[in-house]
Amino acid sequence: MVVRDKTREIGILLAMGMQRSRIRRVFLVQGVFIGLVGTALGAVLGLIVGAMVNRGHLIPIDPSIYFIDHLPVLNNPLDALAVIGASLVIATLAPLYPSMQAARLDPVNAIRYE
Amino acid sequence: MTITVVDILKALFVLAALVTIVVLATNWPKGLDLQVAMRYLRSRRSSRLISLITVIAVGGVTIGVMALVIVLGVMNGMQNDLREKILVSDLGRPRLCRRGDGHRRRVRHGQPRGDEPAALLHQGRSHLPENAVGRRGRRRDRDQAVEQALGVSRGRHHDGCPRRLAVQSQPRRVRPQVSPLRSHRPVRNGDVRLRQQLRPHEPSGGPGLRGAWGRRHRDRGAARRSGARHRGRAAARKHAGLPVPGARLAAPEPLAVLRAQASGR
Repeated sequence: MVVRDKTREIGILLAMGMQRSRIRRVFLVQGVFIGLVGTALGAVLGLIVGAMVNRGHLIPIDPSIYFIDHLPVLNNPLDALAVIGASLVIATLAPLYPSMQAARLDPVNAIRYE
Repeated sequence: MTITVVDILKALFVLAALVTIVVLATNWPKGLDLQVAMRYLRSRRSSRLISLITVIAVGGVTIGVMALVIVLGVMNGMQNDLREKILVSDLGRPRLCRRGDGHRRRVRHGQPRGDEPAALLHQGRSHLPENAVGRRGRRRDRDQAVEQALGVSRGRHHDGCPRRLAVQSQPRRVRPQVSPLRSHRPVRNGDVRLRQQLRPHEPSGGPGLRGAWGRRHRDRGAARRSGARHRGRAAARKHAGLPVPGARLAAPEPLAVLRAQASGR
């Protein structure tokens, strides 16, 4: 979506002489940045919400069925690290193809793009 | 050697991580690239700080990671709670568990014997899943877990804490004998008098071997002395009139026969 949105800007940068590898790098960095911010926010919020649910007994459940009166949450640091690692890997690999597409654009067609 | 789906997934993850490292190393941003990338994250309009696309992308990743962390936490919590309730439920005496940070967090009182753990043992055979406890699903470890659940363990896991963190709050008491062929009492090696007291049919108090191997040894010895034709453990139990593990129960009497017996005909 960002590549489509910024097609004209990409065309201008290419017309001004920017290298295609640097165009690719711009969009790759953007994807990694989005992944980093989202992962950090998600991990912090997830740990906080989990701790709140566990301490405040925020989600009650039927003890006659489950033998417990609230939803227990026990955060394992290894699980959290695995989730963070997987998220970062995906966030790095996901923008590879769109950034390569952006780098392959023809500057004339890109500037004409509406 | 069998390759499981988990192994394949782990290998894929490691491969993806390596590719990520290579991609980041070869495309590490320099001054202008970083500047342009950050500029493209912002909105064209001056009234908005960041573009809608960026907000949607960051929000999606945030929600995904948050959901994963919470769901894994809930699964861990449920597993931990169930394990505490099922495997640590014996004896009615206080236990101290020292957790990872080194603080003694709680003192729990066990439940009376015989309610939940009964489901784990049927005719002396463990009904825990292969990966419930123990290293690599070994049967000896599973049996040990069932013995813990029933409060008859000889290991140090008696209070449900990990072995290296277990803290015994009270000395263990000797339990009455369960059967002449299989007993779970804490018999110490060399304590002949106690073994004689607990095994009156064996003058030496038994060979004193511990664990499954010792039980098998004793059972075979008992079978040999009692003249059983086959010297296995099942034969010994059968000869002693005890239920054989894994054997089929006798079929119940038909209803018509029971009614006839009840009516006296």
